[in-house]
Amino acid sequence: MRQVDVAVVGGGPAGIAAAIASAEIGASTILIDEHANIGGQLRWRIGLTLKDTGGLDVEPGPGLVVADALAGRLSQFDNLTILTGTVAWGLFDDNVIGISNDSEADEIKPDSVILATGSTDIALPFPGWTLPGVMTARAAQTFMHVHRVLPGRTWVILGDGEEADELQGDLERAGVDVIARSANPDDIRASGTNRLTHVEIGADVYEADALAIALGRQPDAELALHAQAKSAFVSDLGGFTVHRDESGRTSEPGVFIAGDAAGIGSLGEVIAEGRLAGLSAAGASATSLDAARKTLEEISSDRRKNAIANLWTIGTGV
Amino acid sequence: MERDTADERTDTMDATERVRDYICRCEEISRADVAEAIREGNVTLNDVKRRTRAGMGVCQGIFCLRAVGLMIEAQTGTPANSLEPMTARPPARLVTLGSLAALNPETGP
Amino acid sequence: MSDSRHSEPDQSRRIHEHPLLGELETADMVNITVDGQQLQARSGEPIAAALMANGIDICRAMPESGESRGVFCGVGRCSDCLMTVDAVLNVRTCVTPVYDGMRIETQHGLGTWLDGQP
Repeated sequence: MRQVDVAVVGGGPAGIAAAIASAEIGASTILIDEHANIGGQLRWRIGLTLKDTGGLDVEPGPGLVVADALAGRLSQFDNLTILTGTVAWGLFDDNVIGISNDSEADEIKPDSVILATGSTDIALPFPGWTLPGVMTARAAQTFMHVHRVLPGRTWVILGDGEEADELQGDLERAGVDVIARSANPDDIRASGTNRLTHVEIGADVYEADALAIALGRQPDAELALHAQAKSAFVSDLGGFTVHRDESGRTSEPGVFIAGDAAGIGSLGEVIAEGRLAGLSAAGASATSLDAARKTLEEISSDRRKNAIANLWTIGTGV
Repeated sequence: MERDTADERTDTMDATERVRDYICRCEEISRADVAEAIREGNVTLNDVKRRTRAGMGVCQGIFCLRAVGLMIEAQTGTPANSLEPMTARPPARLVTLGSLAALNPETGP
Repeated sequence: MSDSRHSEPDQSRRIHEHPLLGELETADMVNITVDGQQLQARSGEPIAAALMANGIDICRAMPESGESRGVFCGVGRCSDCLMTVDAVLNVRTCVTPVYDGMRIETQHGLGTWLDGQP
């Protein structure tokens, strides 16, 4: 069992911002990420550009460059431990976190935990969606950009929003064909014997070896639900997430949530939230908190602000 | 959400191929099974999970919970966004028993 | 299962050049065995990526239906890419790195523990 002041779960933009904020004011901090490298969505959504730094001291620029710069920043703190390739698989009484890296397991006992666990792709089922060759947009992006392999050559995309546009751009950059798009999971079916070979959209039939589900992203607040945090489904935040204030405080003492896990947002929004949550969890001075709150206030869209303000007055408890 | 049966599919498809119309990928629970469970009176996400196992698999329901919610909405009129999420239980990821066995039973979770 | 598993490996799916990411860095290559066939992989890449680069998209056959599954979420959340690796069942191949000499088997159903294996 390791004791720390602040544990941050998730090393994407929000989690990095939270960990830096916490470490900056001297709190012993641990950052846990399940991937081999920290950076989160910056590593697979390579079209992202950081324009608004959300109070984080980093040069704006392409997401991957920013991810590397932030990894460098994190390594400068003596009071910050980074555990990559490590899964946080449970949140228990007294905020004990169960972690595992497949060869060994441990527990962390933080005074405060910040859940910056990001998002999971939204999927809706349709006939044939279990065939090899059908995958989430994130799988396609991860395999192309992180692992440098093409999951397929001839693609159909399910989705018509920003995420579908983003993926289409990614596929075209990788030099493969997008031959059709459908907006409607009730009007698409995939077929093939052992893997995907055909996609039907309405009356049209396409020969394709890959179909990406790009219907958007939903908050991944599962660990907060382990802690029985009050939750609600909020469309403007991307789906089920948990009640929390602007600083990321949930209904459970010492449990904070920030970034996409607390509602799908822009890079600037999730970074500013992560920073404020990190400062709050680590017990920063009122002056620092006010400054971070002001930055967040300036960056956040009205839609996000309203959704968060309304969280406590709506929805279902667990 | 009416769908064609396998027999009605276009002849460009392999006629022997099954209609793989699952709601829950992990536990291989079909749309028909979930629809039947809701008709039987299982009208919350947890009810459907307990009755069918949809959402009980490795992904912890993250890839089927919306679909089950929308089916409950379509069949009962209860808005999907008013449903409580399925009870979340550890582990949030697939972990080996061996790695958990290493935990200290005195201090561990 | 697909016959393509035992034909000449198709390495054309590797992304060597990318307009934003640049040229693929060279990596040490390791030998892996997939259902008895010797294949090459980039050291440290996930098993599923190595398979995909060799033209293999099928990881398991499901317990109930026997239907094939491959990479779906790609980030360790779902159960579709589970395979048997060095006699260990249910390994998430999209997040488990390869190493030299790794033996990977398509997992049928819930899989079978092999006698005499660690």
